[in-house]
Amino acid sequence: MDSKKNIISVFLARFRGWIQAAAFSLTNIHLPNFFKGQIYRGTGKTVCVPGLNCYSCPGAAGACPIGAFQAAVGSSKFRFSYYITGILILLGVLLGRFICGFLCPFGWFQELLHKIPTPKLSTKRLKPLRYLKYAVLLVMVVLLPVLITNDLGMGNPFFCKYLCPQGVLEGAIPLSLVNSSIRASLGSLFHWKLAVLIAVAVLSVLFYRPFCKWLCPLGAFYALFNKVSLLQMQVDKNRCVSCGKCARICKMDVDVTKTPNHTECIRCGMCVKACPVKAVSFRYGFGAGPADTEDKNPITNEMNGGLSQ
Amino acid sequence: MKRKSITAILLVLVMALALTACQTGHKTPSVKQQSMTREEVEAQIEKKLDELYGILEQSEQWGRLLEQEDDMVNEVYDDGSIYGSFLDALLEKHKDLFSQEELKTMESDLETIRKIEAELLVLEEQRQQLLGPEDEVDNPTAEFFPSFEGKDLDGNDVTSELFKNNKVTIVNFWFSTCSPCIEELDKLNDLNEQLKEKGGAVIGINIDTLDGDETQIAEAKRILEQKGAVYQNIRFDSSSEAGKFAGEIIGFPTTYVVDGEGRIVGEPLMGAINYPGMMEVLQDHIDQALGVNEMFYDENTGTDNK
Repeated sequence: MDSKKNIISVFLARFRGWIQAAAFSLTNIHLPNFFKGQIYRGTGKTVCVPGLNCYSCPGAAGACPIGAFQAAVGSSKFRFSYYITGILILLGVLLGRFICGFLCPFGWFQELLHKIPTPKLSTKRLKPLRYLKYAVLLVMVVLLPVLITNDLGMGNPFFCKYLCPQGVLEGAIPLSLVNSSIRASLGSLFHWKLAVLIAVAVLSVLFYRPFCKWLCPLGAFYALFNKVSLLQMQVDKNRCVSCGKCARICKMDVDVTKTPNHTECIRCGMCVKACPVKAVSFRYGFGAGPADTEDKNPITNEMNGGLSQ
Repeated sequence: MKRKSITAILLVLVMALALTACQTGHKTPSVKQQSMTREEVEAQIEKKLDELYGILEQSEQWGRLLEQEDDMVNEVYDDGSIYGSFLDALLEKHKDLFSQEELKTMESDLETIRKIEAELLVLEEQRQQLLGPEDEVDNPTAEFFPSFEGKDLDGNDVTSELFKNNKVTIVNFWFSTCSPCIEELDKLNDLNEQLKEKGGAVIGINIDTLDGDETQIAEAKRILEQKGAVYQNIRFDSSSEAGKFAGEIIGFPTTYVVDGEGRIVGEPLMGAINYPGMMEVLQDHIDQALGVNEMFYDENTGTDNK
């Protein structure tokens, strides 16, 4: 009989697409604004949504954490955005990159594009590019907005301004379709970011989630919390038959049996679904790293509900 | 798995279509039923204007006179005449450039010009009456700037009557933590100085200060001072008509050009005026507001007829 945890894990993995759709809809709940060319600016916007979702999306219910962080560090009023960083750390500890896999609208967008049937390319050989996103986080989100300032000590949101394709997809495109003065104001910055968006979209068809893997500063931030997050992957070594299916199916190039809490793991649960002996599951809560516990102390593991033979 | 991907693709398609639908729905202008009479009136206005310009263009003397003044200032004089009185005053100023004979023909030209202008006034009135309500609905660009009663940041009373005191007013919306807004403040100050000579002005509206929060006002004043911006900055209640208008602006800075009658000229400019290309558009709007034949302002396009 499967344990309760296994059932939940399999459920999450199987219905991930629907959860992503629901998360996208909740994140962009103000649908009428799409037609009005307006953006919602109520109290909801003082809180961040977990995923990368542009503040300027007409439907957006909350602020983008990366955008809000840059706005706060770049303003002359605040030296550092404790509030946003606090929210990000909290989300990182509670969920880690589960947010990428389940809640992020831009992640979902890339996945939908990847469903377009074409020959797919592997990113296994492109692993060094993964480190680019930490550079994006450090340089474009943290350093440049703080260091490059005008005479009043105000910086620019460099990531939003020069790189973020989500801003074009959710903000510039829908707003400019309906709002003529925004359309009139589109200039070289828009064209550059539209090119970035098109590049990301084309790459998304060929590769799995290229933006998440290589560029996303929010993903980079959550990645740092993957190891300490309350939500982790757990491999039951007593069940595992070392068939290697989980590593082969993983589109983020992670071997869950070796590194269940790898920074690249977005908790998508493909390995959970693929495992023929149901050895892989999500695990939520405090406690020592599950892999260690299982090896040394199977009894504790049993008490956790991991085994029921 | 396959069904799931099909659903996903369908969903994206539906969303994309929804956006396109709203786009076309917005852009397609409603089919207007234009009565022949209105077109006739407009054609006649066009004809009269050609006649008027014809007089000025054909004679060498008028060309010589107009060279004396680069700025075709557009004052509407008491008698409703624009050119007549302007040219009259100009001719008075440069009388000595012309011979007695030339002056005589010019006087008679002036007579004709005044006559044409009088006819144009009547025609324009007719045209205004023929404009149906749908012209106004379809025509967001010819809206009036909402009226307001408020104060400037120094506490002096201001109302929307201020538009009537200027030939053109540049209204710049900004807020204190918006860095592109702040970067253009000195440019706006320069513009204010330039416009002063032409009877125009720049006013700023810092939306943080709208409801009179003392710390926000102090912050706005500090920034203005630091950027050397001395033009008037005003505020009003955010619950007022103008306050709601300001509340609907989604991008900052946004700059409106308002003509001497309080009418918004063209589309608002979104983005700082020091961005490439913005100054040209702004100048274009200003010229429109100052346009010599502002009486014949085209209500449908927000542009000048001529």
